[in-house]
Amino acid sequence: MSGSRDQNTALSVRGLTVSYDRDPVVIDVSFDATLGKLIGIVGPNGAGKSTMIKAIVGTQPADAGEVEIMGKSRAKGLRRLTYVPQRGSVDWDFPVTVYDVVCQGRFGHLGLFGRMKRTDKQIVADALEKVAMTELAERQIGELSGGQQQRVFLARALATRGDVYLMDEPFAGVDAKTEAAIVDVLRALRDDGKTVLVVHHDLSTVRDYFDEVFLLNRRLIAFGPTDEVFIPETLQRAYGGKLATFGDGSSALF
Amino acid sequence: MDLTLTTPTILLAADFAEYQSRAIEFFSFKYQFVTLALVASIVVGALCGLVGTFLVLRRLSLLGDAAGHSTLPGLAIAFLVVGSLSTGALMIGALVSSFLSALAVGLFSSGPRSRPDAAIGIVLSVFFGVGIVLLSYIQRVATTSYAGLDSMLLGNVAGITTGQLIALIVTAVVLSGATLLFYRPLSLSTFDPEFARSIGVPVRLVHYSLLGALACSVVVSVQAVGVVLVSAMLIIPGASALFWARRLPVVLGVAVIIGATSGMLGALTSYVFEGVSTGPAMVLVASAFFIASLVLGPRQGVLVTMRRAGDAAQRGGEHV
Repeated sequence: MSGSRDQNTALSVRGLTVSYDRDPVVIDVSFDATLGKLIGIVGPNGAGKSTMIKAIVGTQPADAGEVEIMGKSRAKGLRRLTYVPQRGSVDWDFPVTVYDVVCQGRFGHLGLFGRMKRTDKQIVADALEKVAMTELAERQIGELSGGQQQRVFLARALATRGDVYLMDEPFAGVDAKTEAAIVDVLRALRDDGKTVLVVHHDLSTVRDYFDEVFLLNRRLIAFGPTDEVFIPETLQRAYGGKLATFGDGSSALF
Repeated sequence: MDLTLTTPTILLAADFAEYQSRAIEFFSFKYQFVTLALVASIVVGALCGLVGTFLVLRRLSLLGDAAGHSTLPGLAIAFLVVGSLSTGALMIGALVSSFLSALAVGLFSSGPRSRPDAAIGIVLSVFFGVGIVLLSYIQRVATTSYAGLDSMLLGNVAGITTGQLIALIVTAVVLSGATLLFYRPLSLSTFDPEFARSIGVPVRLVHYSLLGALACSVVVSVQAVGVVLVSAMLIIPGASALFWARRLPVVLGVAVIIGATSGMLGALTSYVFEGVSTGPAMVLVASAFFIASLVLGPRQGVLVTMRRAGDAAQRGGEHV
C-alpha cells in the first residue's frame, strides 16, 4: 500500500468510519493530504467534520479505519500531529496562565518528567510572539477575550512544532482582526511546508483562504484544489437543497 | 435586677476559663491521644484539600459526596463479618464499597438517557440507606462494642488508632508523591482532555486513578471527619483556594493549607467543647475560610468584583 503514496503525503486516512451509539456519523472516508497545503474542511451542520478530525487524532474511537501520519502509524507519528480543539471544549476559568497553556505544546516532546530546556522556552516565546500574545503571557486565560483565547490555542499548536495540524473551527466567535491574524499564521505554516486542515463554516471566505477544499457530508463528497472542488455542482451534492448558487459562482446558505 | 444580669456573666466567665485551659491543654501535647488526634486532623485536612481540588476542577464535587456516604455499608458489613472493630477489616470494607459506588455511578452515567447528577444522587442515597439499616441492626444485636462504628458517621478523631493513623499518613505521602510525579498528565487531562489525548496522555487511566485516590482518601479520613461530611473537606478547601490564585500549583498549595488549618482548628474546637463531633467542627472552620475567600479573594471575590464594577461605572461617568 505504501508504494501507492508519494513522498509528499503528510496524512493518509483509509476507510474511516465513526458512529455515535449506532448512528454512523462518518462513513468510509479515505484520502491523502499532501505537505504544504492549507485545506478547508467544509460541509453542512452534522456532516461529521469535527467527529472526523477527532477520530483522526484519536480522541474519538472509530469503528474502522487506518490513519498514517508522515508515513508512520498513528501511535508512532503522534508527535508530528497537532490538534487544536474547539475553544468551547475547555474550562476557561481554570487556574492556568497563557504561558502555561502554550508550554503544554511541548509536553508531547518532554514526556512525563522532561524539564523545559532553553530551546523549549525559546519555542514557547516564539509561538507567543507569532500570535502577538507575548505581553499577555502572565494573564489567567479567563481574563482574555474570545479572540485572544483562540490565539492562545494557536500558540500552543505552534509550540508543538508538528507537521500536520488539525484545527476545529479556529474562527468561531473571533473578531475580524483575530481572524486575519490567524489566517496569516496558518499561511506561514503552509509556506513552511506543513499541512493544515481547518474545519470551516463561512463559505464566503473559502476561496480566499484555502488551497484545497474537503467537502464532507458523512461521506467524502469531493477533495481537491479549491477551483475544482468549490463549484456549484459539488456544493449542491454536499449541502443538498439548502444551498442556492448564483450565476457568478458565489453561493448562499439558507 | 442586678442578680439576674450578673449570674449569666459569671457563668460565661467561668466557662471561658475552662475553655481556655482546655485549649492550652490541647496544645501542651501532654496526652498522647491528643497529639495523635492533632496530627491526624492536619493530615486529613491536607490530603482532602489536595485530592478535592482536582474533583472541584473536574466538576466532580458530588462524586466526593457519594464516595463518602457509600463507605458506610462497607464499614458495617466488615464489622458484622469480623465481629470486632478491626482497623484493617473496616478499611477494606469501606474501600470496597466506596469503589463499588464509584463504578456504579460510572455505569449509570454512561448509559443512554442518563444524567450523571441523578446517578450520583441515586447511588449515594441507596448506599447510605443500606449503611444506616445495617447500623441500626448492629445496634440491636451487637454483643461486642460497636461504639467506634457510631462515631464513623460524624467523625471522632480522638478515637483514631495507631493503625489508622499510619494508613492515613502513608496514603497522604503516596498521593502527594503521585501528584508531583504525574503532575503533567493530571493537570493537562483536567484542563483539556481532548488535547491531552491527542498527545498520547491516557486520559481514561488518569480518571480512574483519580477515582481510586478519592476512595483511598475518603477511607482513611472517615475516622476523623465522618462519612457524612468528608465531602465538605474535599470540596471546600479547593473551592476556596480558587479565589486566591491563578495558577494550579498555587491553588493546590492554598487548598492544602486551608484544609490542614481547618483540620487543626476543628480538632481543637471539638476538644474544647466536649461533645462536638470533629467532622462538623472541621467543616465549620473550613466554611469560615470559604466565606472569607468568597468575600476577600483577589480572583473574582465579591469585594474585588464590586470595586471593579465601581471603577468601571466611574470611568463611564467621566466619559459622559
